[in-house]
Amino acid sequence: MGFIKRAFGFISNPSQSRTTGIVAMLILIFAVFLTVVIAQQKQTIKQSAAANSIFTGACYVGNLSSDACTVGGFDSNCNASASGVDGNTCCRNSGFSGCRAASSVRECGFFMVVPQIECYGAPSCTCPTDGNECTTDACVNNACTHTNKSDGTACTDSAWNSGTCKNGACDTTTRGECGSSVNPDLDCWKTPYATDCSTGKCNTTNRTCYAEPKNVNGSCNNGSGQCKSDGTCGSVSLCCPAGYDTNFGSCPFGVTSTECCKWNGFFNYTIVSKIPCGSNQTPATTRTVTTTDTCTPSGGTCMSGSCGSGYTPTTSGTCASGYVCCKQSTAPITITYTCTNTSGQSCMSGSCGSGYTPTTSGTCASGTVCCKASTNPPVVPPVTTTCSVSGNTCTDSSGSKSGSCSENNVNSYSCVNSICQSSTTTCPTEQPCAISSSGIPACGGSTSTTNIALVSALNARDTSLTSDTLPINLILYNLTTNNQVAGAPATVTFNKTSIPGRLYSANVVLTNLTQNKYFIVFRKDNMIAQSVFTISSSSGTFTVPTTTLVFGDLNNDNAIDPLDWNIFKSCWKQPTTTSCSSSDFDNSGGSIDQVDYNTFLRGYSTWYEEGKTNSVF
Amino acid sequence: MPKRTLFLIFALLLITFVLLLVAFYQPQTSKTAPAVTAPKKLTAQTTLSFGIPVTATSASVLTTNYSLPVEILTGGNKVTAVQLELQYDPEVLTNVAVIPGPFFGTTSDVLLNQIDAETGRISYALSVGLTAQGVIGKGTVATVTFSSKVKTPEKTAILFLPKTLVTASGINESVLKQTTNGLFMLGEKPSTPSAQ
Repeated sequence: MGFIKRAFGFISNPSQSRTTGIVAMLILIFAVFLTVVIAQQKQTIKQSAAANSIFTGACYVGNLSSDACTVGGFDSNCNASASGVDGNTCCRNSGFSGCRAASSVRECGFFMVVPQIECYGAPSCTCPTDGNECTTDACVNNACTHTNKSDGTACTDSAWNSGTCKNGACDTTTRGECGSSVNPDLDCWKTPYATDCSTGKCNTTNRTCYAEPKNVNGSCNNGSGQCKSDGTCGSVSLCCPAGYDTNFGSCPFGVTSTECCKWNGFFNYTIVSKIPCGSNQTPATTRTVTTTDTCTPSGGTCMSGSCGSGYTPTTSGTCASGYVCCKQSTAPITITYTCTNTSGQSCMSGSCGSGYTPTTSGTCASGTVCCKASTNPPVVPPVTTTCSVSGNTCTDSSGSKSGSCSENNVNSYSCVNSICQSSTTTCPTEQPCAISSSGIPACGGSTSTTNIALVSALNARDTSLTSDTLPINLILYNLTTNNQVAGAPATVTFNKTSIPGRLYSANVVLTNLTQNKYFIVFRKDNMIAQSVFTISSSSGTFTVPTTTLVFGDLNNDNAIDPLDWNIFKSCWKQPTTTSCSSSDFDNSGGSIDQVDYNTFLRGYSTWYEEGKTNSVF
Repeated sequence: MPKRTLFLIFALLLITFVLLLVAFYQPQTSKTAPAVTAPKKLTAQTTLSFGIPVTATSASVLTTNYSLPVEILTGGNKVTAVQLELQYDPEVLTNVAVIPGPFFGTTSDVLLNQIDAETGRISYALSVGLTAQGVIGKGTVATVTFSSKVKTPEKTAILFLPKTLVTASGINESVLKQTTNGLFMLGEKPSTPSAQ
């Protein structure tokens, strides 16, 4: 107080007024100077933050309950980082969640430095379209920017002519590219057609579109298919891995040929999963009798095991393993064609006999000529044909025989020495034998079906199903494409039976499926069952092997494996009233217990056992 | 000095003081440090391979018994279960069996043990105990034992099939990153494996 009184007395003393005034003016000048300096510094910081540090990339999104200024913590992209930018400060608001708006720039403490790159959220501006299909209109750094699209992007110009983008403009000189269909498109003017396996091209002569194959043996349809030489996306052709040769016919151990490769040099065969063929590989499964033998082109026939009746082995050609090259042991029967006695003509060996003259109005088999009677034609007995083939049926003196499919084998008949001779061809697994709509069995399996009736039966394990009916969900997979397919009803009601070993059964009608091998999963809540069946004709009734409903698919991926066990483990001893209720298989309440664990293990084991029985695993 | 002048000086000093306060004022903010955790990618880091087969004692001079460890390296995964789907040549290997290794400890559970001697297919699943934690590290997860009838040196292989998978705590998909098949020379001692 004394100091204040003395200071006031000094100031109020008229003799010191000059000194007091000078001191006051100096204080005022210093204060004004200091205020201006600090204000300028703040303005510099704000301008720096606003002008140079707009970040348009991905920002860290989280609840930052942080201090405003903390050393480190964020990298130059505004992401969380252990070291930060440069050890300076990165300003954040308390309770901050997401990127800040530019208007909420927070000020750092005195003499603290705002990082060069701050996160101010996504830029915004008004950016009207420029009407150019070949530019992208977007706000970048708070400014409207028209960025060129990639060259080749489809576009139409102001006259609606189709073209592709080139340097930000629609180039319609690409006329000749074809539309979204590979069917003839006479104007060749549509959006360039391209699939994983083909490019649409235009025949400039007749203006007709066609598909030019590309990426042969490459993947297509998101990796589920493989490009064929005809430009279509087909099923994946499989080849043996490096170090293995493709199989040559039968495989050991009773496995399918898709898993069989010959291991170079070590032992005859081993089983290894084949992989999609590379660009320089020939699909292993295309190696069939008809494509690999040198017997057929030389006039012989590859026959399974040994030569059939009327044929003798020959070394002039080779066949695939398990087949021998055979040639007819006798001269083929002379068969007349259009030169018949009904028109007064007949085939004569070498040359026409007495009373006959050659004529070109009919054709005969090799070594014979067609002759016509010069005068009264002699009666020529008709050539008796004891064997004939019509469609899928071969008829000889013993009756009629029809071709059929047996597993992956095509059983067909042909006339050999006037007898219906059977032959068998083994199809690749991904192209199983199928009866076409015209009734001819052939490898392929792509023939669609009309109505298929499945007869299914279910058992159940570890559950006390007592109801007379059981609604079951069906999930259907194509084992050739390995994709889920439509065609099965979502839910089918199974009826209780009194047949031992067949607790429930149902007839399921399927439509519009291809003739193929299918894997079906039956689901009732957290119980699942599996089975496999093959559709080998365009219609008919097929029996699905009886399978067992078991518990265990806790993650609903239509399989039981350790991933389900992982879920069960997390529920062990947990109350059944929580999300673990699906692990309470016996609905006993309380907590997940040993009974549930035993049920899971039995389901796990049964699932695998039946999977192997059905040749799925 | 006139009182009016003095009043003016005091008023100016007061204004100066207020301006300085505004200039130096620094708003207070929350004092807690940012608790930012960079999101981590949960990736499959576990590999499975075969160790060196060991020749065991043989009760018969006609057959040789082998013991083949299946090794696991988990990386950062806390592994809780392993399902092995193996393929072998049933014309070369006989009496095939699988036993748990020490990796999961003494509380491990065998979830699945199916061996088809006709097709040469092994389905074997092993896990930590229901109350145990996932395991990080490397070790022998299981051991395959078999006999061989070959008299002359012959190569054979045991392969991992695609259904092989590994689960880990907190991850709802397989964490198996890589498998290495085994190629072995039988009929001579010691058997030497090589990666395939």
